[in-house]
Amino acid sequence: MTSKLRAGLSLLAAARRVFDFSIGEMLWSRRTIFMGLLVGGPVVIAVVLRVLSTFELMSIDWTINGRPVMLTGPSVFGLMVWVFYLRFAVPALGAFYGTALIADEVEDKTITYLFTRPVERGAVLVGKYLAYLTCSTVIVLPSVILVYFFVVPIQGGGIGQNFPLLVIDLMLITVGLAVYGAVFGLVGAWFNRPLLIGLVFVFGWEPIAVAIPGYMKNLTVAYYLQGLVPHAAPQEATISLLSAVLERVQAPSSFCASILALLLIWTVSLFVATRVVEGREYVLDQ
Amino acid sequence: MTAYTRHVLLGGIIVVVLGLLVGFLAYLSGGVPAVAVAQERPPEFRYVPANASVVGFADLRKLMDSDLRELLRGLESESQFKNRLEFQERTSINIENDIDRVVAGLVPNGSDQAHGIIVLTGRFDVARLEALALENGGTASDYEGRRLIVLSREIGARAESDAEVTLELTMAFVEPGILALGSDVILRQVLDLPSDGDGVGGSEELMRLLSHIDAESTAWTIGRLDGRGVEGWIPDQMGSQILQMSAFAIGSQINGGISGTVMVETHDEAAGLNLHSLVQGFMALARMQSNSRPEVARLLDSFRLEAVGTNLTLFFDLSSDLLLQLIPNNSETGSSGSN
Repeated sequence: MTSKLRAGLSLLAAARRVFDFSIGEMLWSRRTIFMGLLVGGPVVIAVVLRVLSTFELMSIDWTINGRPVMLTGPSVFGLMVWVFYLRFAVPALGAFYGTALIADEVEDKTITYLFTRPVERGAVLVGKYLAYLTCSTVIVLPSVILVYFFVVPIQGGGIGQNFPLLVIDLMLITVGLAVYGAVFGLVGAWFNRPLLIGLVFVFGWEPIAVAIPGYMKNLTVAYYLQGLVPHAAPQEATISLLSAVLERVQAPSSFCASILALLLIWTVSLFVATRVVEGREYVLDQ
Repeated sequence: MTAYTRHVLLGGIIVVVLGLLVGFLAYLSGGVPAVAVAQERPPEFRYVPANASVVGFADLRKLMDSDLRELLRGLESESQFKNRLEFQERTSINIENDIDRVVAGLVPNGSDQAHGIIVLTGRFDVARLEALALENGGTASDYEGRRLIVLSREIGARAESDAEVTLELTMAFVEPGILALGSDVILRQVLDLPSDGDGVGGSEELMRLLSHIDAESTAWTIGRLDGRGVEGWIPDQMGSQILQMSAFAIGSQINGGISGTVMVETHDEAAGLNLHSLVQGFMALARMQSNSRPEVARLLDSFRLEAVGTNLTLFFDLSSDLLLQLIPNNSETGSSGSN
């Protein structure tokens, strides 16, 4: 009887229903304030940099690791995308939202209502995951666009010339949100204290694993995202600011290897997460 | 999903789409450095024909008021000062104060010589200048309600077998306060243009290059090198290198020192890389030879080369003290000029 009822809606149709009511809940939750602060910070910094540059209060010649680095708009934008978004905002949002996809329903003791609906349990996770992805991209990407238009023209950087880099960065951030969301969706579906695990993974494991030599970096998402970072414009006698920072850690993986690895992580995480949700009996605290 | 949620999502999507659209349009128009700070079109553009290959501009007012000019005025030799005074007495033009802007254009005509035009904006004593031109053998004629004065001077033959070459220069006051000088053909062509026309401002290709020039530039030159007849005025020795380039834009800001950019567009990325390597090679060679001349080393340090796609840009920033070091024997020149 239950299986007949559940077969009433396909996985995608059911996921769409869950998406419809989850997106509003997600957008108007307290986490959105956190997300606003997270993506609003770089915009404020971008405005400050632009003002400093306009009034010539900022030097463009820096030294990193003893090497001269020319601080141009595109290089600052590349650095901001890497440091603020790909290394901080994207994993943090993935951890906060991804772990909450199922854990929030368990904590609020509302998961029973979802699981008694005539839909596959996996569709609940998929629908909530899609809502997270929509919500986060719609808030993060405009912030990146604003940062681009404020920062790139500094020191004569070209809005048009660097447009392909913006497109690639937007795709990278979307990929980052999708992969981190899937990984932490799995963590949220599997473990009882998922947020703690997520934060340890993002701010403990990843920075250490990426920095230490050996194969440990292969067990992070950041390493593969690093392999896709495009900002390394050739310059005479100087290197780009981003290259200088990246060279401090590890040689990134190749582009194809990074794409394949990220695709694999995303697929496996999402698939295993739906299987876990399908099979696990969630015990609600009394 | 509530209507409010839909509006928020739609707002985010609109910002992203608009940003991508603006970026894409800038990309299509050849890489606008920053729309807000791009150079504006001088009004004198309407006196430069739309088929000009090269256009230059100098804000003489800003240049003459600059700290650098003040510095150089102190280094002016007595003979230079006398020449300036003599010129002022003959023409009643005080170069320091009377000319505000200069716009120049070069129109290739397929032969060895290109037609050119120079448009000066400022305060001129029309009667005195016309009388001076006529005194020096000029011939006056009327065209489209304006007075054209043609000055010609024989400058000799280039080779024994060649015929005598005569240099002709035509001048006309096209508007009160605007003096045009150039070849007779171009001047007549300019006077035929409608008064509300755009002139070279209508050349989309050149105007696209203008977007590479910073709004604060004191002097700039833009040009395309792949038009018809361009080969005519490029020296043969430089032809093969120059013709790898399709356009250039040079802008400079002059105040305490000189800073600016030299941007060159090449036909393809391979040509861009070759040119990048060539310039890097020259710079490396100069750096090797600069050991005994610290001012040359400083000069090289003030250059930065950047290659993006088919564009090669050389940034430079020369301080006033570096410029003074580079001027040969500047300490030997007198300082009577500004007295």
